[in-house]
Amino acid sequence: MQKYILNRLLQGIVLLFIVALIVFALARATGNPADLMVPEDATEEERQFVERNLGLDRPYHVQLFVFLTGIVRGDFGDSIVYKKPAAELFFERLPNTLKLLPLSMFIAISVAIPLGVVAAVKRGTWIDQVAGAIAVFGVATPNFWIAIVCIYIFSVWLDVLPPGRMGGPLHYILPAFTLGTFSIAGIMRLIRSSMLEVLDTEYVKLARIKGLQEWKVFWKHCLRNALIPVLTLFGVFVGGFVTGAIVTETVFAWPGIGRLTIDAVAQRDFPLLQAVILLDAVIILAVNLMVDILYAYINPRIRYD
Amino acid sequence: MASDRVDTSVQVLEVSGERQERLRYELKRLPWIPVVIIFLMVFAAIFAPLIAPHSPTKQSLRDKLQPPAWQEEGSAKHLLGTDILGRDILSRLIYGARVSLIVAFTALLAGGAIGGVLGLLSGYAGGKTDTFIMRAVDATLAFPTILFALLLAVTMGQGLQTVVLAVTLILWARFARVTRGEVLGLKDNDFVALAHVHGCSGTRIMFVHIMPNVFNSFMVMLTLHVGLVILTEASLSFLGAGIPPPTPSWGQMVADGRAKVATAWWISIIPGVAITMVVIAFNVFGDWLRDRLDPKLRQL
Amino acid sequence: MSLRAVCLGSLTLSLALVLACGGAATPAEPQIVEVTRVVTEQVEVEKVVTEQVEVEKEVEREVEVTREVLVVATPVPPVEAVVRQGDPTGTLTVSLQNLGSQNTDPILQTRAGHAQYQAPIYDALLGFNHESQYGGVGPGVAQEWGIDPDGTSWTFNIAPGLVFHNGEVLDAHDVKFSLERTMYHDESVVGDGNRLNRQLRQPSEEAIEVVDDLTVRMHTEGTKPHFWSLLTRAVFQGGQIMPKDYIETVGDDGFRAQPVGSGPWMYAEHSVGDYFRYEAFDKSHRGIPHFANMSLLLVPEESTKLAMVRTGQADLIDLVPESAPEVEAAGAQLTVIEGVGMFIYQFWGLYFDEAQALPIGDIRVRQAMSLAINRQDIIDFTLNGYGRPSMPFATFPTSVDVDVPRWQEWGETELVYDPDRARALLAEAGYADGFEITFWSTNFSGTPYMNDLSQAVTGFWDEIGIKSDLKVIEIGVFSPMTRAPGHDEWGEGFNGAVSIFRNAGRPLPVPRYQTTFHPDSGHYAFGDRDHMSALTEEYLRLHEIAISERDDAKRAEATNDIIQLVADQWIGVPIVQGVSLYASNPETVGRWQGIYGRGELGDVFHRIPHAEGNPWQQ
Repeated sequence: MQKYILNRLLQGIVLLFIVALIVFALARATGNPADLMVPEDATEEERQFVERNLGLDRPYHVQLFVFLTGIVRGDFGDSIVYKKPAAELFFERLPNTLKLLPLSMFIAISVAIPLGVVAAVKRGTWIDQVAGAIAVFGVATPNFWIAIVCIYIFSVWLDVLPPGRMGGPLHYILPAFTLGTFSIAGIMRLIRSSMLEVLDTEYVKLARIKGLQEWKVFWKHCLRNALIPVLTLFGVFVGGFVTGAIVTETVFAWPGIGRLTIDAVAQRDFPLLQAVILLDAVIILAVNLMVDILYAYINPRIRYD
Repeated sequence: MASDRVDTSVQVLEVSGERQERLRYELKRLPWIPVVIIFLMVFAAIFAPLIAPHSPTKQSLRDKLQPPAWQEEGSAKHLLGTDILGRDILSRLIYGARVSLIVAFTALLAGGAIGGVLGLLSGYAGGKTDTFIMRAVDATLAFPTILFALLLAVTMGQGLQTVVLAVTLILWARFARVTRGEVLGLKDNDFVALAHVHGCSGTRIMFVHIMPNVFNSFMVMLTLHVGLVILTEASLSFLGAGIPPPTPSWGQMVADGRAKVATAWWISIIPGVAITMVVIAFNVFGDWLRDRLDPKLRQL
Repeated sequence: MSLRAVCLGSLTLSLALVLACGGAATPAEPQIVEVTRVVTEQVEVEKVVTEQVEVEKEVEREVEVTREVLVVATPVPPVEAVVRQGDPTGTLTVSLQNLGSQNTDPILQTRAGHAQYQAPIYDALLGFNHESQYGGVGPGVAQEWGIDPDGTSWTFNIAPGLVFHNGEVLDAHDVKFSLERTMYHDESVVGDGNRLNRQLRQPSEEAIEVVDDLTVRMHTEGTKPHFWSLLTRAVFQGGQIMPKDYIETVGDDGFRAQPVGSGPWMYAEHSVGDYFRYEAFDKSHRGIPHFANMSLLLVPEESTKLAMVRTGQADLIDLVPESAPEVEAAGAQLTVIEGVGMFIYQFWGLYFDEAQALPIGDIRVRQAMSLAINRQDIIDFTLNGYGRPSMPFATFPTSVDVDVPRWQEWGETELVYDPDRARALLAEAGYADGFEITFWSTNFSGTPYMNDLSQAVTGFWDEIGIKSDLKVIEIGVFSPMTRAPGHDEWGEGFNGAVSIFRNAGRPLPVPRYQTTFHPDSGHYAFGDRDHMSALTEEYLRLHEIAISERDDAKRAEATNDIIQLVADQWIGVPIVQGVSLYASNPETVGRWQGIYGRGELGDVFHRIPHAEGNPWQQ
């Protein structure tokens, strides 16, 4: 087990190195921040002045060397636009995004579990199909569109929820809901299939034969066992969450890492872009690793190789 | 050799004598509404030039923002109204179906093929190859999807090809992972061992014996990912990096009209509903397909 | 009604859900709160440092004040007389689409258009002309300025009695310090610093001279009649005045953490990517704000901004013309700022021989393309009425050295819609059946509807048979293709194609012509040094006069000749003049006016009054 974890960690580091190289290359292939910072009618000389003072006139291999040696020390460099350490900007914003996580997960799970259970129990009937359709609504609708329609209904029309930005508890509802809808389908599907599997097992059949009430069979014997695989979905959830945050935070003017990512891309802020993508990747990888390890503990049948 | 082939087909179709009866049973449970929606979309996409009442790109500034025909100020000329440049929404919707399907199928076929082959290889060969491919898969999945697409879009410039490439690069990893899992499950089966005994080459076993058995879950994956492609395109449009105008794409239409939900709802709500319906249809259909072909498949 | 009830019902349900999950969410919550607290404490520590510094300053200041009294016997009243009643009250909340680089240090912000979060804090050496309806340059920190008889130096008389937010007196030393900081600081990204350096007599270290505490003299390299344009926000982004003693004491980092200027708003706090907060300053020569506090919120999504002003979450928002009917219908008050810019289209690389063989190499074809555009329809429909007929390339009613009536008339007679003449011209050039062309388009920062304009223009070309291959790209990929060196080969970048572009509403057209037509500059639309033509030679000759002639009339003549030269070529062609739009909540904000030609509100916020009581209807 320890060897497995160590192995995965080492692989993770190699992986991050590759991601870092890709990010470095991709970032520079996308344009030049100086072009975006100067007014569109700036003279060539003025543009070069800005470029020089941003340190962008250095050769690529020098920039790459600075970048890679910096990462080793945990230093991602300073944001070109905001003039602050890129990592600091990321970790300042990270809590804002994480604050949405519990509520949106709760929304996703509390919708997905009943739907999954119903779909499994009524497998193959129209109820199954309808439950599937409801669950899939979240992944079937553009995230930004749900957000904007929700703003229009709940903020403008009914005037009960604020349209955006961070603030009191009410401010969390719409962004968390938007983020949560995205994961309902995945969780529901997993619940349904693992419920189907559990329903098929000998001990459930036995419990039924013993004459236990149907709901008791479901909740005590099936659901509890069916929930274990859902754990693996947490990794997927976090991955989807980061993706969803990019769009959702833009709509709701939420100062989290999603918005930071978009700003970094839009402004071609290389150090910030590199830091954000790498740190996003670290989070996703770490969560996946944790889930794998946890899953291995719960389900000892897993092999490590 | 011949006996191998028989062996394989048995795996797929079990007992062919019961086939007809089973088919009738399955058809009864076919989700008809989704099938009709998918059919309509494909029909619209293929015959777009014949059924679209107007050109999808022809603007007419003076006809801007006409409501759908059933609303008070609407006219039968533009059944679903017009957008901010006075283009006919219905025609754009019909041509947009074509764009969406082209993107979805190209990306899925490319991503599916790459992912499928690499997954086969990874699962069958094992060892270093497996580790290498799987770490590449991890690296791809560690990028937030939309960010990856966005970076590509800003690097290559927007366009249909960019969206296809971006989605392909996202999808291959998912396909590779699922295929590998399937192959791992099949590898220990008797029919593979039998092929070995008969002296089949590794390549032959992989493509002739294992691949057909992975095909079912592969089809399910394809169906279930149509929605992902359409939605990725929509999100990219929202971020300003989708399929650029004047090409009609559903995602772009929703994104374009999003600030006018209050005054001209039809610009974004109509294509939005179209996206939702089609994606739900593909998903429900995919679910049905999965239950029919491969009841044990867990991950998407 | 019943639908509404259903919605409310479902909302109550979801609220119950949220309440329920409040419990679920609690385990993670306290941790996060702690993190935030730590950050706040750090900020507070920094503040303490700043305060200590301020105490040290006081001693120095007393000395300066005595000196000042010696120089000016009678204090002159503030430049901009302030008429307002009562102390500042309440908070003005503004949601904006863009807050630039969100740096507190003026040398770290490149674009004037993005600097609306800085302009409240800092004064520029020269300000705006508030007496003319067309804006332009007026008194700022310097109440008087002018070129000296020798023609190579400028004297600026600084208004007495100006103070920075920390109480430090603003004098000539601060001006010299600030301009030099903008020019020489190795992090400076202010283009004007670079321009200034080039116009000053070398070595520029000695070119800015403090004559006395309230007088600065600057020596230029030869005669520079437009030298003033580098020192005001009315043109670019130059001349921002920073406190010398304060920065020298606390250093760059201290200054950036607690910036101090002399503008009407004192910096309170900011969070990158989220907001800037300010407090009213009661000693600014620009006037005392009506509101006691101001928040500038960064809200990138248009529909969210609209919802914010409709629900009262924001008092004021910027918006695009397409959104105007919605907020108007909702009862918001619209404010239009005129003359802020001009949308144009521009042909690239026509100086190549290869381009001369193309249809667009023919001047008649280019004129036909202009005649094919129904500009009034674009104004009425694409811009919802929020656009104006245009004058020639980069000229506005406020332009200096320009014969405004002549060019207004030119716009009315030449920029007309005449498809028949357009077709005739095309036929005359041998392209009666039309041709194909590539049109590059992007949304520039602040005007996210330029792609719509491009579609409108190409739509009109379509009607006379010119098929456009419209290529919409993201702004970050747009610029390098046109600007980066090495893209001047045929077949690269936009060469042989046309693109949309924008002219900012600056009162000085010559630099804008330079950007596009000078062979050494970014676009070299008439040709670079390797492709010099008679046209380029003539342009260069006129350009030299326009930027260095002392005599106003001769300079104006050359400037007008440049305008004519460019107008005749139909290479950079105006589409329409744009406006900036703001919507405010009439319950909280009264009527206000922007500054002609300046689309952003950095120099306007302090003049925005409380509501006069007009009813706010939903």
